[in-house]
Amino acid sequence: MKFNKTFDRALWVFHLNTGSCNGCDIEIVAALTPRYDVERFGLKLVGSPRHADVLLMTGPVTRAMAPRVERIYRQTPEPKVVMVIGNCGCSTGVYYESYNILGPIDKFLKNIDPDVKIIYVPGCPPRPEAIIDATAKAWLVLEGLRGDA
Amino acid sequence: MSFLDTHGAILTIIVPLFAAFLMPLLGKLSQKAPRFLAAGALALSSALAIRLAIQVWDSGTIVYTLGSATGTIFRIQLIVDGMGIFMALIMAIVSLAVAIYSWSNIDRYTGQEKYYALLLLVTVGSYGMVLTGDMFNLFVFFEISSISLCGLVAFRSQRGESFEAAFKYMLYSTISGVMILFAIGIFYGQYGLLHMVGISNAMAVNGSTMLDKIALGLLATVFAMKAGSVPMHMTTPDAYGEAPAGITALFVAASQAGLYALFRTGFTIYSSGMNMTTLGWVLIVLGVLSMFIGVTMALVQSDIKRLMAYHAISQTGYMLLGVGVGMAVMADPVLMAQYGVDAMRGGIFHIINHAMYKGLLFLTAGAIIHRMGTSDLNEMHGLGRNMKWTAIMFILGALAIAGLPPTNGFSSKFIIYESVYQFNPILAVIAMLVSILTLASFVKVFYSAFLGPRPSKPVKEAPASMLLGMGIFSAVIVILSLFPGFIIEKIVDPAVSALVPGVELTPLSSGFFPSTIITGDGFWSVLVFIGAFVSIMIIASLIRSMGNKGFTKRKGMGQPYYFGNRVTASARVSGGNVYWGFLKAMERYYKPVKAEHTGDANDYVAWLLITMAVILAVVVFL
Amino acid sequence: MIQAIAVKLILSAIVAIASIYVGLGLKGVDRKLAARMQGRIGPPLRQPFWDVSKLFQKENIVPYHAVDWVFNLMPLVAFTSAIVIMLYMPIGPLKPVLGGFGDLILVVYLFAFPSLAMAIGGFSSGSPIGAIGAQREMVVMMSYELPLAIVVFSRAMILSSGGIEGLTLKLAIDPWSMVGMLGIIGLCLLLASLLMVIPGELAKIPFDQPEAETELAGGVLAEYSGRNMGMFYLADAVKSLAIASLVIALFFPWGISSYFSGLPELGGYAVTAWALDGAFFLLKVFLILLVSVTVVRVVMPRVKIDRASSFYMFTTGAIAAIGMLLIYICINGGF
Repeated sequence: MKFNKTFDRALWVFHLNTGSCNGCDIEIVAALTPRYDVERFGLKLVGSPRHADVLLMTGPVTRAMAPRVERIYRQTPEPKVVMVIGNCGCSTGVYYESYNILGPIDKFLKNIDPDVKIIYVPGCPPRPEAIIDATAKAWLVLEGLRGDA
Repeated sequence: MSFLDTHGAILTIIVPLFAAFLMPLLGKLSQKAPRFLAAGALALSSALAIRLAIQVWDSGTIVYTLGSATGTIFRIQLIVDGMGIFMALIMAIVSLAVAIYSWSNIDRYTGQEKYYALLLLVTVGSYGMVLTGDMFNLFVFFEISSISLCGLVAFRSQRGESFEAAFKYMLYSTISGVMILFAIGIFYGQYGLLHMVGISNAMAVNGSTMLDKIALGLLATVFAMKAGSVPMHMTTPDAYGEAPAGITALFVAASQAGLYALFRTGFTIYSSGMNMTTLGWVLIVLGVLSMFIGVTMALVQSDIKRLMAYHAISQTGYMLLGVGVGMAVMADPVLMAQYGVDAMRGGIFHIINHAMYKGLLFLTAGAIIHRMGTSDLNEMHGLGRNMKWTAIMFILGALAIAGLPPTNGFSSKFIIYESVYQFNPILAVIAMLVSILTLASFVKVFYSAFLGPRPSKPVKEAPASMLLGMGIFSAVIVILSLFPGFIIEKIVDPAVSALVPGVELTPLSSGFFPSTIITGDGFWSVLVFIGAFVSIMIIASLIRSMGNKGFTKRKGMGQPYYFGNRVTASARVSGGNVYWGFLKAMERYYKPVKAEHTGDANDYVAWLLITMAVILAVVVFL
Repeated sequence: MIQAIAVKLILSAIVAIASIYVGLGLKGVDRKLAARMQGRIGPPLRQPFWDVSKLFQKENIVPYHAVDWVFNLMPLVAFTSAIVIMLYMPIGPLKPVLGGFGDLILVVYLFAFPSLAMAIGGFSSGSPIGAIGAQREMVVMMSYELPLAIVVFSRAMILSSGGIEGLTLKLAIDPWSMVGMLGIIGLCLLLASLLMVIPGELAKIPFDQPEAETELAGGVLAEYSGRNMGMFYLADAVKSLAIASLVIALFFPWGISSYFSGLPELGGYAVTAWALDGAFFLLKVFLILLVSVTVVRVVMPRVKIDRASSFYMFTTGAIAAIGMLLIYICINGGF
């Protein structure tokens, strides 16, 4: 089928921790709980990046995780959006210029794929409401990809 | 009546025999000539067998006398009836396919003329066993085929295990031969006859005596052993595993000659003088044990041919079950008409189905071993890319042995379920369970051999003669699958009426669709199923084509997801290790059963003798 | 002849499309109810339709190590066999489309096809995760076959004792009225064991070891994406409908239109009666899936594979065997 707007109603999410302290991970899982419940927007957590549309990345990219992040990014089928959650991913946060960090996620991913679509959710950790708001921004990005905007 | 009409029966046996004797001379002339002589002789004898079959179906039982025309001494008669010709047909197809397959299979071995000579002798032995009407003649041909098979099992003489397997098989065959001779002695001593029908008539006069029952116990055990039923199955995996692949396919057909001899003994010789219910129950118990122990032991094997050998044991159980149910209700005409006849039809149809798909599976295993160099499931992978024809034929054979629709395995199992559950539903439940375990086991083999990463050095497709041999089996399987009702009416029903004379056979297939089977209890039509499947597959492809077809090739996107890591060779789940959950759940069953399969020749003989004693006790006293 | 074949083809196409829609609808209802049971709002009822549409828009990647003809063929086989099951199954008041050409044994074997296709697909994807998931799928299939076989042959025993073909699905025969008191207890035990088999058949919690999402990264389907994944999703939806239809055909085959009289007809066909029976059928399907899939899925955790295997073979098998024994005593003892 052609890429149309029903795509936004069923985004499947893969969660990838690139070296974070797990604070943002807890907030992501909290977004799935009854109080915030992102499943009502159609988002579902999947176990394999091959099924995913949105890659939720948390944490700055540590040296050890770098090749793995690259492989997982490449293994995700198009069309995809990357949602960077937390200050560490957006701008390395408190780990600024640490010896073990290869930079914020966008700098790392733009080396791999210059057309990567990234949504930034700053916060340490960001509230689940911010993650839900980011979903709406993801829809805008997807509209742009479709050319409908 | 032409020459072939009168002498067709004996010619079928003589042609391969003469060819076998010519073989060593031909071997001195050239390396390549024996294979053509073997193929030619077997093609000729197969053609003769088919001609004989048509003759028997048209005009009834053929009796061919060697020796004096009257009297009972100095005379051997070949009695060719529906059951005998059924088994001869199986031998015809199997021997021809194996002869062609062997052209490439043993190409790199010396001593090929010996191989072909022994191959022809096994064929002679099996044809003789199924076409003869005389007990001692049966014994002679039994010995011919056993000794030749011993030699063939040891053919790959660079491996020590081949000799060990041949020795164990020889041990079993020799003990069996002695026991048969003892039983024949009992017959001769009591009745002065060696002719099967003659003994049967003599038993009908006074009923069978205690000595006759002893003979029955011995013969039943020995022939069930030859067919490979538990608990006398111990040499079967060894022998099947070590013989060259073509020979294993022939082994299957030769084992079924043993099954034929068992049925002949039970139905033709003894049924006139005694009630067959006890022997029927013995066959049923042996059948159930074989089915279950065969398939559960197959699940833990890691060698491809041993795994298939255990499946041969398991499938023999189906045949014993079907015919055993028929034998058990033979005396009661109401029950016989209700389900006994169908059970026998299912069991006998299963014999030809099994020979075909088991032969095909062994030949594909041989092709895999030929190309891969190893027969260990843990070491082979990824052949499905280059060996496409082998893979497709393997899938056909695996679907057939698991009994999935629309193959012929499903048709015969269908008939067996429909009839056996009326006798006792527990038997049908075990049969269905075994069927799914068989499927799981072959999925394991398919995964190990054909799926997985690419092999380290590139493999080519199997050689042409191997593909031709496998193709013969596949073609027969397809014919048997598409027209089961027709085949049963033409081929199986004469066999059933030969074994149980005078029984009425209700027609099995409905008029227009010759591929429908309607038993008293259910219905199944192959062509409708295939038509439905194909048309829905077309709809499915249409639905699927609505989706996004391909992917733009980017770097690194095709690597498997392994939590972000690279997949190394050690990350592969090897074929011998699958199904851990099931094995753990059945731990309490597997420990004693695995411990009993020791590999020690003494234990093997002990099992044979213990079983013989038990069956003797049951038959004589119950 | 040609006309009969054409009619059957059209009916098959109608059944196929209807099964897809009903199956996806049932999936949506299941997710909504599971969410409500967990105190959430849950996705809208049309969510599975959007899921399928999204999957068909994604790229369809064939991994490098996969054997591609097997990899691409398996989703088709899974979907096709799920639909073919529906063709042989009585749907509500309607006789099966291919009624005279296959019976209960064929249907039981056909249920093995979608799981088999998923397992071979997992094996062929060239990934160790797929292989582990696939072999777990085969283990679960091996294990639940025992109680399933016992249920099938017990029902056959009941029917054949009443003189009807034991393995037929053509006629709507009510087994409860054919047995006495002990037999009814036996039938309840058989029904319980069949309901326990359903989550294993559909690979739902607590028996979704093959598709374990959190543990095994998608298991069998780990390497599938795009339209192949969409076909498997559809196959799963149709399979839910199929297995619930099997339970109804074996145990609850009644319709309710016989209790109403004077229903309006259209051109000689009792259309209103069919619609009423069809709605009742959907209600029964929904209740069966509610009890055996949704509630169980929300309440229980996933069990380890060897515990799952021994649960099916020994516990469920024992329940079913006791049921068969009671029915056997009832039929032969005349209670």
